[in-house]
Parts: sequence; structure tokens; C-alpha cells
Amino acid sequence: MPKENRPNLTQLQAYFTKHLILGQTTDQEPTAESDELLSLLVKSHFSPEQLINIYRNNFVISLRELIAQLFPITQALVGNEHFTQTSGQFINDCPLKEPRLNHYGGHFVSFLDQLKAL
Amino acid sequence: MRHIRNDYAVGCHGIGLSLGSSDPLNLNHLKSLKSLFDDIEPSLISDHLSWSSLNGCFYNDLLPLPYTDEALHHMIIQVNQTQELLGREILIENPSSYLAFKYADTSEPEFLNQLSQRSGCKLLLDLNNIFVSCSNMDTDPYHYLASINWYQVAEIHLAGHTVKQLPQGEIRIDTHNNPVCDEVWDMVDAYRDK
Repeated sequence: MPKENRPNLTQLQAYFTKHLILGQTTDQEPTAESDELLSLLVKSHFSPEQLINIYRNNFVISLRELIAQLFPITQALVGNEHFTQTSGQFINDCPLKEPRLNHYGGHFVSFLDQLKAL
Repeated sequence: MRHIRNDYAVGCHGIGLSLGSSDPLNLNHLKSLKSLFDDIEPSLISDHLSWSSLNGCFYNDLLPLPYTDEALHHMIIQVNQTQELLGREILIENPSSYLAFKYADTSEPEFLNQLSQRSGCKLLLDLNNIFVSCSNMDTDPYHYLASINWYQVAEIHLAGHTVKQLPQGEIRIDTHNNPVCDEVWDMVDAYRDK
């Protein structure tokens, strides 16, 4: 790839984080031709989406497990499926704003209060 | 922790510095760490060759950097500033990788060598991460090891990983939830004298 076509570090990281956020709806599925990040990855026998999913799963599952540990009764009351969905939405809407996990999840209850679905 | 420190050498290993992020360093986090380090006086302090935040949002994973001159220059500045703020040398660890970017100016081991040489940091080599990354990228872990400047290596990590079966084949994921695999022990044997 010619140097002039490379994104700079900030651009690349913006492309990457866009893929880490759950539930992004697009009119069509991103492809290696249409998506900024996917077109920058070395081809392998795995699809670019599968590879990025590994990073997304590491991120989302770690925070989801943290919220589940903090709110086991809520999880039992609403059921696993609903809890998975709402905790995922929480991770998107209330992103982690510091490198420590100690304070994360405290707003989950007020977030649930705001959800009409409950 | 203070009791343990009295009897043992303690190393502090972090995942939160996000040194490769194009965001500025998180000074509040660094101040908290400095206070901890001043108290505990760890023998080694380390974090990763990766990034995990952008625009103040944290993604709680070790995300991959492109091995470009721009990223190297950025990492050198970030590591220099971190060492200056902490008043101590740090170690940088190689990450597990699941993908590679189409563009690069150098290889990962050469990037680490350059970073170490030009910032004064030392290297923490995770042999499992090398094995995981090389398996996933279809490259030779022994070539990686031979490319490393071992004079800069101050610590070795070993861990276990998970082999995940996808429709197209196996991919190795750094999970720290399994015993160290035989191939990584072979790498230890080959480089024991280094």
C-alpha cells in the first residue's frame, strides 16, 4: 500500500473503534471494499469480521461479565437473554471512561430505569 | 501488598496505559500508578505494545498497532513521557495478535528493538503471545525470537491460550486460562541461556 494511501494513527484507531461498538446499523453489511478498516487488513483464511470480532468479544464480554457480577439479582429477575441485551446496550451508551474497572457499572440501575422495555 | 513486598520482589504489570493510543497520556491514571509504585517500589513495571482507548473511551482490550514509523515515533514519545512522569524505566510487552495491517515499515520484533533502543525502555517478552501471534499470522516464532535484541529483554512471561475452532480453521486466542502449551515450553528450552 503506498504511504500516501495509509490512514494516520488517529484515523486508523477511529476506524477500529467503530467496529468495537455493538449494534451499529448500516444499510448494508460492510465489505473489504466499502469499509475503511476491513480494506486495511492482510487477507487470511478468516474473514476480517471474524478477526475483529475477537477484539470486540474480549472487550464486550469482559465488561458484560463485570456488570453481571455486580448485578446478579437483576440478571436472575430479567433473564439471561434480556440481561445480555441490556448490558450490551449499556456498554455502548455508557462507555468506560477510565482505564480502571473499579467504578464501572454504577450507573447500570439508573440506565435500566430509563429503559422503557423493562 | 506491603507485606508481600517485604519478602518478595514484586512486579507491577498493567493493561491500562494505552500507550499506543493517539489520545494524550491519562495523567490521572499515571499519578495513581506513581503513588502505588512509590509505595510498593516494584522491581519491574510493565505494560503493552498496544492501545485501548480513543477520545477518552476505553475498550478494555489490547488493540493492535500498525508497525509504521509514525506508530514507532508515537510510542517512543509516550514511553519517554511515562518514564519521565514515573521517574522509572518501564518494560514493554509484545501483544497477542489476531490480525495484521496491510502496511508496515518494520516487523514487530524490530519495532520493539527500536522502541527499546530509542526510549530506554526494556522489553518484556511473552513467549506465549509470540507463539499465538506467529501461529495466527502463519510466521515462524523462532525467526521472531532470533530477531529480538536480547540485551533489552528484562522479563519473560509464559501463559496458556485457547484454540478456537472457526469454520475455516483454528485460531489461537490469548486467554490465560490453560496450561502453557508444549510448543511454548520448547521455545523456553531453546532460549533458556539467553
